Amino acid sequence: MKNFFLVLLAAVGLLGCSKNDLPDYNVLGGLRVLAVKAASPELSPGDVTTVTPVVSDIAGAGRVLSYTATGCPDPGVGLGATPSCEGSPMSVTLGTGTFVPTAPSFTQIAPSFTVTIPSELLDTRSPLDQFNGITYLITYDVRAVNGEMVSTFKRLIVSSATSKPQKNLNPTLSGVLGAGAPLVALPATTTSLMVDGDLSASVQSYEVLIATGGSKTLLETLITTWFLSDGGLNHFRTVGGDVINFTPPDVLPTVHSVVLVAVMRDGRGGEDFWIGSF
Amino acid sequence: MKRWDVVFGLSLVFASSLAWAETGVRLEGKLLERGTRKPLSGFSVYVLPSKQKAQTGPSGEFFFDSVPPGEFRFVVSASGYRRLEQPDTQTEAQALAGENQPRVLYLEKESYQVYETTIVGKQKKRDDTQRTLKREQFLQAPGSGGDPIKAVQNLPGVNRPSAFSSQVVIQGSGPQDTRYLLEGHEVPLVFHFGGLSSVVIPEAVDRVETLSAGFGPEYGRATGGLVGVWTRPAQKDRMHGLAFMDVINAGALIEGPIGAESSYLVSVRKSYIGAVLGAIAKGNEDFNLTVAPAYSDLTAVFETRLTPIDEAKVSFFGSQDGLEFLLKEPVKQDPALRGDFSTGTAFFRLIPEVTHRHGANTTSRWSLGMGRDWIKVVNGETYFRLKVFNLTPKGELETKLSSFWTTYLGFDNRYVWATANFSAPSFYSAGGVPNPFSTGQSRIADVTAQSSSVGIFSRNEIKLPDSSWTLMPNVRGDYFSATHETLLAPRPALRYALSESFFLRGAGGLYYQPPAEQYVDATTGNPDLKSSRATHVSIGGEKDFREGSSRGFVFSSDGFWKYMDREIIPSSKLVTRDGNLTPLNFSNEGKGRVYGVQSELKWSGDPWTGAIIYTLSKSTRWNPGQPEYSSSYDQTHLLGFLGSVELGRNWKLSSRFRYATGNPKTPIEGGILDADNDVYVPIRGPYFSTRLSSFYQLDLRVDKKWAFDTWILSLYLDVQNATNRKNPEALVYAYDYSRAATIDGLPIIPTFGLKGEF
Repeated sequence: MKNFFLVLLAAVGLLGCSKNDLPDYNVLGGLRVLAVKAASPELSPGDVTTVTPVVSDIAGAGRVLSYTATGCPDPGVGLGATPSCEGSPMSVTLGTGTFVPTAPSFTQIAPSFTVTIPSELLDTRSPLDQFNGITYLITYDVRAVNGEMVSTFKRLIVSSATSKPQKNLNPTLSGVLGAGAPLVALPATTTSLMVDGDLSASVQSYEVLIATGGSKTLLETLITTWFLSDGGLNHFRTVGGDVINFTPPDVLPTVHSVVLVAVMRDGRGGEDFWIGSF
Repeated sequence: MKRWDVVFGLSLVFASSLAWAETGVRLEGKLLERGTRKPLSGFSVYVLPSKQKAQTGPSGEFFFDSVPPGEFRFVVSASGYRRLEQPDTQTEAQALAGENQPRVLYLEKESYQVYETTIVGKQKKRDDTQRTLKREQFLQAPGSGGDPIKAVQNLPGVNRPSAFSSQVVIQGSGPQDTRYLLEGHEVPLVFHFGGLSSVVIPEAVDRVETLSAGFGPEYGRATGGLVGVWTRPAQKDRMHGLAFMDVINAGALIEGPIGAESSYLVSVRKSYIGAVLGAIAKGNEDFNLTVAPAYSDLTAVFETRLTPIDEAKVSFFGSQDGLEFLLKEPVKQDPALRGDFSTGTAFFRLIPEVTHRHGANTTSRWSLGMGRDWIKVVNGETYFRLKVFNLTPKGELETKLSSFWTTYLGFDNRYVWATANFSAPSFYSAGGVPNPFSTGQSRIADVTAQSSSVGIFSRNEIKLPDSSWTLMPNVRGDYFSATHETLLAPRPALRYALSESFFLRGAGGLYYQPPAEQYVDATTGNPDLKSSRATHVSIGGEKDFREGSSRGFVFSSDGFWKYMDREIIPSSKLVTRDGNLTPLNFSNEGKGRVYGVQSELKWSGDPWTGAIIYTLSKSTRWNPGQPEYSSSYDQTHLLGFLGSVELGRNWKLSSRFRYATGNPKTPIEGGILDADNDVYVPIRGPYFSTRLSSFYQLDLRVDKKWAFDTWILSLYLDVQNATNRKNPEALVYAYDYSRAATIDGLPIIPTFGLKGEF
């Protein structure tokens, strides 16, 4: 545990303060998956949910993309296992196909697929695991015709239907406010942005059982990641209703629109997104 | 006739002198060493022109029965000291009235720079694997800022630590396999903020020792090695004090006698690096430094002679540090790191120790370490708080059974009561590459644990009669309650003396290290874990070419081999425990080996001293289903040149040049997006299959002392990385691990310090 925090300290120092010419996280261009939203981020064994990815491929300018989605019981990604269903006897293909990101944003909702949680997933699990939940792994690979591929995974929380009927829900991101008003056009000057929606309604309190006995009630923290294709942001993640400043590009792009994407996450698998194209 | 003239003339001179002497008075004084006020005994003091001579006594006192009135000079000339010619006067009236005040003469040493640069102290070693740095060696070691534990890196077999760290890596073993001891008792950590400064005040330290492959049975619970820090005895002649300051901290020390049989030493230190960093961080876009990093340390020692055969010593060590800052937005590569961040550690140890001489051939030593540790790290909703109460009783009975056989029988126990409260993701790192914290499995627990480690040992030194062989059939036994293990560890050693100045040595044995409490806890670890094990073999020798003189070479070389098994590694497997599927978390399936040769050639002389240190080694690890790979501590070549020269007038120039093979790194082949946490998980290539560029660094240090009559002022300038070489120390990756950039080590850093002592 001490090592964990030593590394954490170093990471804060190195990651938080380092300056280099590595690509910025939130600048859109190449093929990327921005979000993978499950209609129900927490389920009971036997439940079915729909999963919707958000894919951006601005530089691809409308090339054909193929995808494969696979599901299996989590091999222990949180403990260091490779996030893959390869070799799992319970691996199932959830969806395959192709799609073409459309102009002018080339950033859109990709074909969705459904997931059925194996009904025996919680068998032989402890009461603690049944209440707090274990995870079911979904891997989602998107490949371009030139072989370029991005891989993504998502973990659905699976908890007992009886001991934990109250499940996690996705937060609601109804839009983005620019200078306090709904953002419907590209701002001409530097403008403050924040997420729109009833955040207090989205923030859930939840209970976790503690391995050493008892329970704790915790509160979700909503973190929003902001992606954009052109222009600039002074930060790229905000917590709750924090504000960031967006500066529009000096010259508007010609082959694609200015794309702004916000993805809000609750830290427990719940998420929502907003895609703006100007 | 001419002969009678001569006799008459001499008689006249004699009579004249006698007349002066009859009018002179008694003159008393003391001869002290300038700066230190050390009494100089057995020195000749002259008074000119009357050509009188006196010899100083044990306290430096001298007297002249009859010094004639008028101007005169004290003259003292002695080897190792500057000639003293001090004019003085006494009037006839003073002489007649007997008003002469006692004189104090201060004799200046030719050099107060008596220190050497990192030369292993020549003292009787019980353990042949022991390497020692004395206070005068580490205080002036270039590149370490006077820090005793940082200076350990200058010893053979000690690897260069990983980037921006000062952790001690002994012969390719992981730093977690090395125990840190204060006065022989274990402490949880020895550095503030991972390496900024060690927790002991250098001025209060007598020596720092390392024990490496093949170390003896007195110490256990470590498979790599040990680093021990020992306080120095207080000076008992009078009260002494000193104050020091440098760019990061300042402190003071006071010491002296209490009565005839006791003494004390108290030292304190406080940092102000926080003020410096606070100024730098002001206006930073990424974070607010809400509580600047700060640390403080206290070291105190009391010694007394209880009876003619009983001596007691009580040592106290206290240390604390902390910092807080606010991240203005979640860290770019990992949103789990956000908001308020605070960390703090503190510990104290009270260590009473009694030495009892039972007779000419038997001595016993008993000590008890008592103390508490506090560690706190909080980042938003993630926290870790640990409180530990430690009790470490130790005892040893040394008996000279015969003229050739000495035995040491003792115990070395540790009892721990700990409470830990944490809410944090499980942390996974492999191949030196960590996964993002966000991806780790969340864990919340309030854990109370207690463990006992009981160790007994027997060391024997049997110098075979009429033989050059010394046999040491040593053995240690341990019981670890955390793993429910009773373990026997034979650790034989032998020595063969080819001559008084040339001997060969060999040692080996088994070493066990119980897992830390969190590894065997049922909620965070694996309660079925066993202790890690290592097998050591060390063979070497030493030749002292000085043959009794103070100038010359000393050469030593040792080969070492360590095989580690039952190493604790993380595991994502699921096992059935109490009828439920449960994460295994950790297993004992790791293995490793280290082998190499460490050599040292030292030169002692005047004004030059120096050393060449070279270590050639290979350190590997392997896990089930994986090929053997270099460990992160694998540094094939470690080469160091150390030198110092006294330039006269109390100037001294020291330097250190280091070369080390670049640290191994694991290539990263890409990243997978964790869509729940908005982070990328690295896809690792073959572990540690590439390396950073080689490391070179030149450190320089200049010391200057000014000796005043009653105190000494010291100034040093320490220039780390004098050539401003950009040594790549770490890699930072693009968010998706598609590209990497190197982070260079520290640039040229000149620091200075001041010390005044009386």
